[in-house]
Amino acid sequence: MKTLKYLMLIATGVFVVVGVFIYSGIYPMGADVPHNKLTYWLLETVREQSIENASRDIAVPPLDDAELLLVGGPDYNDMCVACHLKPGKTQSDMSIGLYPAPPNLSKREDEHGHADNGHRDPEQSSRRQFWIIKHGIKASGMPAWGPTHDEQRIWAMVAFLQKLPELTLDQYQILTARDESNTSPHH
Amino acid sequence: MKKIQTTVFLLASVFAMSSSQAHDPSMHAEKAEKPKCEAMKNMDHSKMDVKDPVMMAMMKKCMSEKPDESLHNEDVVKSPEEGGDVKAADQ
Repeated sequence: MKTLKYLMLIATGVFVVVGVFIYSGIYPMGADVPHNKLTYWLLETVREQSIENASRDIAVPPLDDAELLLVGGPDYNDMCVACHLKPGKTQSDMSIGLYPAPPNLSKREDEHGHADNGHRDPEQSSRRQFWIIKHGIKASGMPAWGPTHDEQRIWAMVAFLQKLPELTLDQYQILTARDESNTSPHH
Repeated sequence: MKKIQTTVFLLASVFAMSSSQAHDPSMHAEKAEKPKCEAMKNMDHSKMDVKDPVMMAMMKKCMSEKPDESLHNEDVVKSPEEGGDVKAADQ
Protein backbone atom coordinates (compact mmCIF):
# COMPACT_ATOMS: atom_id res chain seq x y z
CA MET A 1 0.00 0.00 0.00
CA LYS A 2 2.86 2.29 0.94
CA THR A 3 4.68 1.45 -2.33
CA LEU A 4 1.59 2.32 -4.32
CA LYS A 5 1.38 5.64 -2.49
CA TYR A 6 5.00 6.44 -3.39
CA LEU A 7 4.46 5.45 -6.99
CA MET A 8 1.41 7.72 -7.22
CA LEU A 9 3.44 10.54 -5.69
CA ILE A 10 6.29 10.06 -8.17
CA ALA A 11 3.89 9.83 -11.14
CA THR A 12 2.16 13.03 -10.03
CA GLY A 13 5.53 14.75 -9.61
CA VAL A 14 6.66 13.69 -13.11
CA PHE A 15 3.32 14.79 -14.58
CA VAL A 16 3.65 18.24 -12.93
CA VAL A 17 7.28 18.67 -14.05
CA VAL A 18 6.43 17.70 -17.64
CA GLY A 19 3.42 20.04 -17.59
CA VAL A 20 5.53 22.95 -16.30
CA PHE A 21 8.19 22.22 -18.93
CA ILE A 22 5.66 22.13 -21.78
CA TYR A 23 3.89 25.34 -20.79
CA SER A 24 7.02 27.27 -19.77
CA GLY A 25 8.04 27.65 -23.42
CA ILE A 26 11.71 27.09 -22.61
CA TYR A 27 12.26 24.35 -25.21
CA PRO A 28 13.95 25.95 -28.27
CA MET A 29 11.81 25.36 -31.37
CA GLY A 30 13.97 27.23 -33.90
CA ALA A 31 15.27 25.09 -36.75
CA ASP A 32 18.72 26.58 -36.17
CA VAL A 33 19.04 25.00 -32.71
CA PRO A 34 19.50 21.20 -32.86
CA HIS A 35 17.52 18.90 -30.58
CA ASN A 36 19.31 17.43 -27.62
CA LYS A 37 20.43 13.84 -28.12
CA LEU A 38 17.53 12.31 -26.22
CA THR A 39 14.86 14.22 -28.16
CA TYR A 40 16.62 13.51 -31.45
CA TRP A 41 16.85 9.81 -30.71
CA LEU A 42 13.23 9.69 -29.60
CA LEU A 43 11.87 11.46 -32.69
CA GLU A 44 14.13 9.55 -35.06
CA THR A 45 13.21 6.20 -33.56
CA VAL A 46 9.48 6.95 -33.58
CA ARG A 47 9.74 8.10 -37.21
CA GLU A 48 11.73 5.12 -38.46
CA GLN A 49 9.62 2.56 -36.61
CA SER A 50 6.44 4.16 -37.88
CA ILE A 51 7.60 4.19 -41.51
CA GLU A 52 8.85 0.62 -41.25
CA ASN A 53 5.55 -0.52 -39.84
CA ALA A 54 3.37 1.42 -42.28
CA SER A 55 5.30 0.44 -45.40
CA ARG A 56 5.74 -3.25 -44.57
CA ASP A 57 3.06 -4.60 -46.90
CA ILE A 58 3.68 -2.38 -49.90
CA ALA A 59 4.30 -4.48 -53.03
CA VAL A 60 7.18 -3.07 -55.07
CA PRO A 61 6.65 -3.21 -58.86
CA PRO A 62 9.57 -3.77 -61.27
CA LEU A 63 11.50 -0.50 -61.25
CA ASP A 64 14.30 -1.19 -63.74
CA ASP A 65 12.42 0.53 -66.50
CA ALA A 66 13.61 3.33 -68.77
CA GLU A 67 10.11 4.79 -69.09
CA LEU A 68 9.81 5.15 -65.32
CA LEU A 69 13.14 6.97 -65.21
CA LEU A 70 11.96 9.41 -67.87
CA VAL A 71 8.83 10.21 -65.85
CA GLY A 72 10.47 10.23 -62.42
CA GLY A 73 13.56 12.22 -63.40
CA PRO A 74 11.86 15.48 -64.41
CA ASP A 75 9.52 15.23 -61.40
CA TYR A 76 12.50 14.82 -59.06
CA ASN A 77 14.23 17.80 -60.63
CA ASP A 78 11.13 19.97 -60.27
CA MET A 79 9.93 18.94 -56.85
CA CYS A 80 12.76 17.43 -54.81
CA VAL A 81 16.13 18.77 -55.91
CA ALA A 82 16.00 21.97 -53.87
CA CYS A 83 16.18 19.95 -50.65
CA HIS A 84 17.55 16.56 -51.71
CA LEU A 85 20.23 17.84 -54.12
CA LYS A 86 21.70 16.29 -57.28
CA PRO A 87 25.05 14.98 -58.52
CA GLY A 88 27.75 17.59 -58.04
CA LYS A 89 25.76 19.62 -55.53
CA THR A 90 26.50 19.20 -51.84
CA GLN A 91 24.24 21.83 -50.32
CA SER A 92 21.49 24.37 -50.96
CA ASP A 93 19.69 27.01 -48.91
CA MET A 94 17.01 24.43 -48.13
CA SER A 95 19.38 21.61 -47.23
CA ILE A 96 21.25 23.96 -44.88
CA GLY A 97 18.18 25.61 -43.37
CA LEU A 98 15.87 22.66 -42.79
CA TYR A 99 16.01 20.71 -39.55
CA PRO A 100 16.28 17.80 -39.52
CA ALA A 101 18.50 18.20 -42.59
CA PRO A 102 17.00 16.45 -45.64
CA PRO A 103 19.10 13.54 -46.90
CA ASN A 104 21.28 14.11 -49.95
CA LEU A 105 19.63 11.56 -52.21
CA SER A 106 22.37 11.76 -54.81
CA LYS A 107 24.39 9.71 -52.35
CA ARG A 108 23.82 6.11 -51.31
CA GLU A 109 21.78 5.49 -48.13
CA ASP A 110 24.83 4.48 -46.13
CA GLU A 111 26.59 7.70 -47.19
CA HIS A 112 23.90 10.25 -46.39
CA GLY A 113 23.34 8.95 -42.87
CA HIS A 114 19.54 8.61 -43.02
CA ALA A 115 19.43 4.88 -43.34
CA ASP A 116 19.47 4.29 -39.55
CA ASN A 117 21.48 1.10 -40.01
CA GLY A 118 22.64 1.59 -43.60
CA HIS A 119 21.93 -1.91 -44.84
CA ARG A 120 18.49 -1.91 -46.38
CA ASP A 121 18.04 -4.01 -49.48
CA PRO A 122 16.73 -2.22 -52.60
CA GLU A 123 13.21 -3.53 -52.07
CA GLN A 124 13.01 -2.26 -48.48
CA SER A 125 14.50 1.02 -49.58
CA SER A 126 11.99 1.40 -52.45
CA ARG A 127 9.07 0.58 -50.17
CA ARG A 128 10.25 3.17 -47.68
CA GLN A 129 10.80 5.85 -50.34
CA PHE A 130 7.37 5.22 -51.85
CA TRP A 131 5.68 5.59 -48.48
CA ILE A 132 7.57 8.77 -47.59
CA ILE A 133 6.87 10.42 -50.97
CA LYS A 134 3.21 9.49 -50.78
CA HIS A 135 2.55 10.40 -47.15
CA GLY A 136 5.28 12.88 -46.25
CA ILE A 137 6.72 13.23 -42.75
CA LYS A 138 5.20 15.41 -40.08
CA ALA A 139 7.15 18.50 -38.93
CA SER A 140 10.09 17.76 -41.18
CA GLY A 141 9.40 19.83 -44.30
CA MET A 142 8.67 16.67 -46.31
CA PRO A 143 5.23 17.10 -47.94
CA ALA A 144 2.78 14.33 -48.81
CA TRP A 145 2.72 14.09 -52.61
CA GLY A 146 -0.01 11.44 -52.53
CA PRO A 147 -2.95 13.83 -52.72
CA THR A 148 -1.66 15.37 -55.97
CA HIS A 149 0.23 12.50 -57.61
CA ASP A 150 -1.02 9.03 -58.49
CA GLU A 151 0.85 5.92 -57.39
CA GLN A 152 2.32 5.21 -60.82
CA ARG A 153 3.95 8.62 -60.82
CA ILE A 154 5.29 8.14 -57.29
CA TRP A 155 6.76 4.76 -58.27
CA ALA A 156 8.47 6.52 -61.19
CA MET A 157 10.13 8.86 -58.70
CA VAL A 158 11.19 5.87 -56.62
CA ALA A 159 12.67 4.22 -59.72
CA PHE A 160 14.65 7.38 -60.39
CA LEU A 161 15.78 7.62 -56.75
CA GLN A 162 17.13 4.08 -56.92
CA LYS A 163 19.40 5.09 -59.82
CA LEU A 164 20.23 8.61 -58.66
CA PRO A 165 23.34 7.81 -56.56
CA GLU A 166 24.98 6.22 -59.62
CA LEU A 167 24.25 9.06 -62.05
CA THR A 168 26.85 11.48 -63.35
CA LEU A 169 25.95 15.14 -63.78
CA ASP A 170 25.51 14.67 -67.56
CA GLN A 171 23.30 11.63 -67.12
CA TYR A 172 21.26 13.53 -64.55
CA GLN A 173 20.77 16.47 -66.90
CA ILE A 174 19.57 14.29 -69.77
CA LEU A 175 17.20 12.22 -67.65
CA THR A 176 15.67 15.18 -65.83
CA ALA A 177 15.34 17.72 -68.64
CA ARG A 178 11.66 18.42 -69.07
CA ASP A 179 11.21 19.69 -72.57
CA GLU A 180 7.91 20.29 -74.36
CA SER A 181 7.60 16.62 -75.31
CA ASN A 182 7.13 15.46 -71.72
CA THR A 183 5.13 18.22 -70.14
CA SER A 184 1.78 16.76 -71.09
CA PRO A 185 -0.35 15.46 -68.18
CA HIS A 186 0.00 11.74 -67.54
CA HIS A 187 -2.06 11.18 -64.44
CA MET B 1 -21.90 43.03 -49.14
CA LYS B 2 -22.65 41.16 -52.34
CA LYS B 3 -19.51 42.62 -53.90
CA ILE B 4 -17.35 41.26 -51.06
CA GLN B 5 -18.97 37.83 -51.37
CA THR B 6 -18.31 37.80 -55.12
CA THR B 7 -14.67 38.83 -54.61
CA VAL B 8 -14.13 36.17 -51.95
CA PHE B 9 -15.76 33.55 -54.18
CA LEU B 10 -13.60 34.51 -57.16
CA LEU B 11 -10.40 34.50 -55.10
CA ALA B 12 -11.29 31.10 -53.61
CA SER B 13 -12.01 29.71 -57.11
CA VAL B 14 -8.70 30.96 -58.48
CA PHE B 15 -6.84 29.49 -55.49
CA ALA B 16 -8.63 26.15 -55.79
CA MET B 17 -7.89 25.96 -59.52
CA SER B 18 -4.22 26.76 -59.12
CA SER B 19 -3.68 24.30 -56.27
CA SER B 20 -5.39 21.47 -58.12
CA GLN B 21 -3.09 21.96 -61.11
CA ALA B 22 0.05 22.73 -59.16
CA HIS B 23 1.77 19.45 -59.91
CA ASP B 24 0.50 18.80 -63.36
CA PRO B 25 3.66 18.34 -65.49
CA SER B 26 2.34 20.87 -68.01
CA MET B 27 2.69 23.49 -65.28
CA HIS B 28 6.43 23.00 -65.47
CA ALA B 29 6.61 23.98 -69.12
CA GLU B 30 8.02 27.38 -68.24
CA LYS B 31 11.04 25.57 -66.77
CA ALA B 32 11.47 23.54 -69.95
CA GLU B 33 15.05 22.57 -70.61
CA LYS B 34 16.55 20.63 -73.48
CA PRO B 35 18.53 17.50 -72.68
CA LYS B 36 22.18 18.05 -73.49
CA CYS B 37 22.55 14.95 -75.61
CA GLU B 38 25.90 15.99 -77.00
CA ALA B 39 27.32 15.00 -73.60
CA MET B 40 26.73 11.36 -74.55
CA LYS B 41 29.61 11.67 -77.00
CA ASN B 42 32.06 12.22 -74.18
CA MET B 43 30.89 9.32 -72.06
CA ASP B 44 33.01 6.22 -71.72
CA HIS B 45 31.16 3.92 -74.08
CA SER B 46 33.19 0.88 -73.13
CA LYS B 47 31.49 1.00 -69.73
CA MET B 48 28.00 1.44 -71.15
CA ASP B 49 25.53 -1.39 -71.11
CA VAL B 50 22.74 -0.98 -73.67
CA LYS B 51 20.43 -3.02 -71.45
CA ASP B 52 20.96 -0.67 -68.52
CA PRO B 53 17.69 1.24 -67.90
CA VAL B 54 19.64 4.49 -67.41
CA MET B 55 21.35 4.05 -70.76
CA MET B 56 18.08 3.08 -72.46
CA ALA B 57 16.30 6.08 -70.95
CA MET B 58 19.03 8.43 -72.13
CA MET B 59 18.90 7.03 -75.66
CA LYS B 60 15.12 7.28 -75.71
CA LYS B 61 15.24 10.84 -74.50
CA CYS B 62 17.86 11.89 -77.02
CA MET B 63 16.18 10.11 -79.90
CA SER B 64 12.92 11.87 -79.14
CA GLU B 65 14.67 15.19 -79.53
CA LYS B 66 14.62 16.86 -82.93
CA PRO B 67 18.12 16.31 -84.37
CA ASP B 68 18.46 19.86 -85.65
CA GLU B 69 17.71 21.26 -82.21
CA SER B 70 19.94 19.33 -79.90
CA LEU B 71 22.19 17.14 -81.97
CA HIS B 72 24.13 17.53 -85.12
CA ASN B 73 23.30 14.93 -87.74
CA GLU B 74 26.45 12.97 -87.06
CA ASP B 75 25.67 12.82 -83.34
CA VAL B 76 22.30 11.10 -83.63
CA VAL B 77 22.25 8.03 -81.41
CA LYS B 78 20.52 4.98 -82.81
CA SER B 79 18.96 2.39 -80.56
CA PRO B 80 20.11 -1.24 -80.88
CA GLU B 81 16.69 -2.07 -82.36
CA GLU B 82 17.36 0.39 -85.15
CA GLY B 83 20.63 -1.21 -86.04
CA GLY B 84 22.73 1.27 -84.14
CA ASP B 85 24.86 0.72 -81.11
CA VAL B 86 26.20 2.79 -78.30
CA LYS B 87 29.36 3.52 -80.22
CA ALA B 88 27.35 5.35 -82.90
CA ALA B 89 27.53 8.41 -80.70
CA ASP B 90 31.25 8.03 -80.37
CA GLN B 91 32.11 8.90 -83.92
